[in-house]
Amino acid sequence: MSVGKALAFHSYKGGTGKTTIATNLAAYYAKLGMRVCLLDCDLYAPSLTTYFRKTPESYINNLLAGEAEISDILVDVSSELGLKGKLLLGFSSPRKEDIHEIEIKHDMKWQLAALRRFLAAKKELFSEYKIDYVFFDTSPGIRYWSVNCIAAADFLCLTMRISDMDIAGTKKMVKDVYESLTKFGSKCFIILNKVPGASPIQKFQEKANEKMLWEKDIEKDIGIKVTGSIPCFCDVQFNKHEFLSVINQPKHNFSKSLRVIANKIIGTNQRFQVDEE
Amino acid sequence: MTLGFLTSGFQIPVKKFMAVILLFSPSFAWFYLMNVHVFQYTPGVGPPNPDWVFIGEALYLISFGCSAIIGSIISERVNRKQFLGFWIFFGVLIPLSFAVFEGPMVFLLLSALAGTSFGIGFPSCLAFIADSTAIEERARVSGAAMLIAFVVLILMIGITSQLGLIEALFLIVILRAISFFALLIDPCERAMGKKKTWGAVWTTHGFGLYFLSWIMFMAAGGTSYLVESWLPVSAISEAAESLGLALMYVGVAFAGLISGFVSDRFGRKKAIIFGISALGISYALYGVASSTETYLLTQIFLGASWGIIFVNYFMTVIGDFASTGSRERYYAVGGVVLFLNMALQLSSEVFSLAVYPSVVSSILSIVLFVAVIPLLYAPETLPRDKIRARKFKKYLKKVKKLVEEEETQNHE
Repeated sequence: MSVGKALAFHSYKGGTGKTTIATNLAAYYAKLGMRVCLLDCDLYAPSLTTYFRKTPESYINNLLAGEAEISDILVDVSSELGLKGKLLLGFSSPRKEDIHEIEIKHDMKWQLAALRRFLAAKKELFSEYKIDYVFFDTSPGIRYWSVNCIAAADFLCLTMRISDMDIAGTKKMVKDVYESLTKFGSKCFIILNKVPGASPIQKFQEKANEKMLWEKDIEKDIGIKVTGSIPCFCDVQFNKHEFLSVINQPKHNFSKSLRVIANKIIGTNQRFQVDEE
Repeated sequence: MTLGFLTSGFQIPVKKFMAVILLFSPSFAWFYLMNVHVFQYTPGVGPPNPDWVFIGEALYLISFGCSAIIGSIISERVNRKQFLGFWIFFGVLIPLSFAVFEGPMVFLLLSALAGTSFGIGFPSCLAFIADSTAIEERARVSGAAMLIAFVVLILMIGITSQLGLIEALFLIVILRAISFFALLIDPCERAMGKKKTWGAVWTTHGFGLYFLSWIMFMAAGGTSYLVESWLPVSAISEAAESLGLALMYVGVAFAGLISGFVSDRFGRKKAIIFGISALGISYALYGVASSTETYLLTQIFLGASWGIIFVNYFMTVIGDFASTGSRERYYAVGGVVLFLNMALQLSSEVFSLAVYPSVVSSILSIVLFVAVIPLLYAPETLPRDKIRARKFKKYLKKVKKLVEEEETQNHE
């Protein structure tokens, strides 16, 4: 059985760039030759169907309801993106009635049964599909499915911005949620996103040592290691349709920052040739 | 703070919890014990004189109600700890006075003073409980205090019934004096807040709906005293009557505690509706078959109903509504309704109605059904976010357990 790992991308608030980071990391790893599965676990505000411009036949919602298997919901985009490895996508239904159903109708008992199916699907991804990394792009805040994904993941990647609200909210979530769900060997790390200072005007650019001070302060404040920070780029943040910049615009500073983080996450996994650019 | 499963999840510090118990439980048990002993024994008038007993009891209950309102006004102007100290001291003096002084007029005076000695500080006592508890634990703490009060009451009735009057009164004095320990272990400070006018108390959103329901419950509870055929004494032996009273107190104690848990977990309205339903069940049972067995069952449901309503409505809901700085006023207003029940109870000494039990039970059941209606429109006083937070915590535990089980299976 593959020793794959599951990574949950979570944040206290929306708009921190979780989906952008998760999709770009997934694409980057697949480009390196890994077998990656990206699941849109934000059942309350799904976005990957729009991001990838896909309309699958079955959704994660069907899997959770016991109406579909994992094989029914996966969409392989490896060839169309020209990836060396594999990138499989699982989407959440953007239909209003499906969102309403998952939001309102289901009680705790249903949620736990759905989680059981989700865990079985994760197991199948590792055992049958030989996936190296499964990414869960979760909902922000504390909701049933963000909690479920955090619990099911081996790594927890918290994306946040450097703002008092994000810091305070993330601290509270660490205490209320993450600590109680930490299981044997699971790891948490922070990615600081949209960090101010990537100004084209020289004098407004933050120096590297100043950036490190932020990271150290946040580590100390929240108690979780900061793996890296990504500067704020208007052309990425406000792009009408940012799409896999890490493979389509590899020379962009956003892509460079992301690659540094990606390499840190992989660590010393020698099976893959990391891109040192 | 943990004292086992009873206090799991409590935020109230242990000392504060002990202070609440020591202040409330002995005092509340005292109130009932005084009613039992003073109005069964009438010192100085020879054999029990029903007229004097009636007037004395009426003065006891009326003075309790009036002094509660007066006490709530006075207590806002003085230091709470000192006021509660005076309250306890007053309550210690009164039983001694019954033992020392004799004569019918003195008896009547002391009856009025006895009611006053409890009523004057009771709103402050309840306000102290509300100030000491977070909203999400108020009902459980109140239920625990009620349980202990009635356990003490049952024990004390058992002990004092074997003693002479003087010995019994002496024990009652000691019981009341135990409340002084509350003042030793806690500063009993009043939580500061803006004072509300008496009018503003009445117009607090939702308070009126609960109040209306409370009135109907009291009316239904009190009406049963009026009905002569409600308790066909000839059919019930004295032993069964005593057992019935004990069962009623047991019902109050345990239903009060359990309903406190229900109330903090699922909301006040559910608990109160259960309480009203319990009274309806007790009446329905007795209407169906008037026998010793149904009488005893009725008493349990009756006790359970009172325990649930007193803990959840009087001690908890009023505390939830009462803003800090004006709590005594809310308790005084809520306590006014107790008058209705007391008045009906007293009226049964003078008047009575001979009505078939089945007719009475039908009428009272309808009254109780109507009592539920205002509650359906009343706002839930336990904040929804507290209910959600508790549910979420429970869910987190279940998720963790499920994932750990799956991981263990995978590793095998």
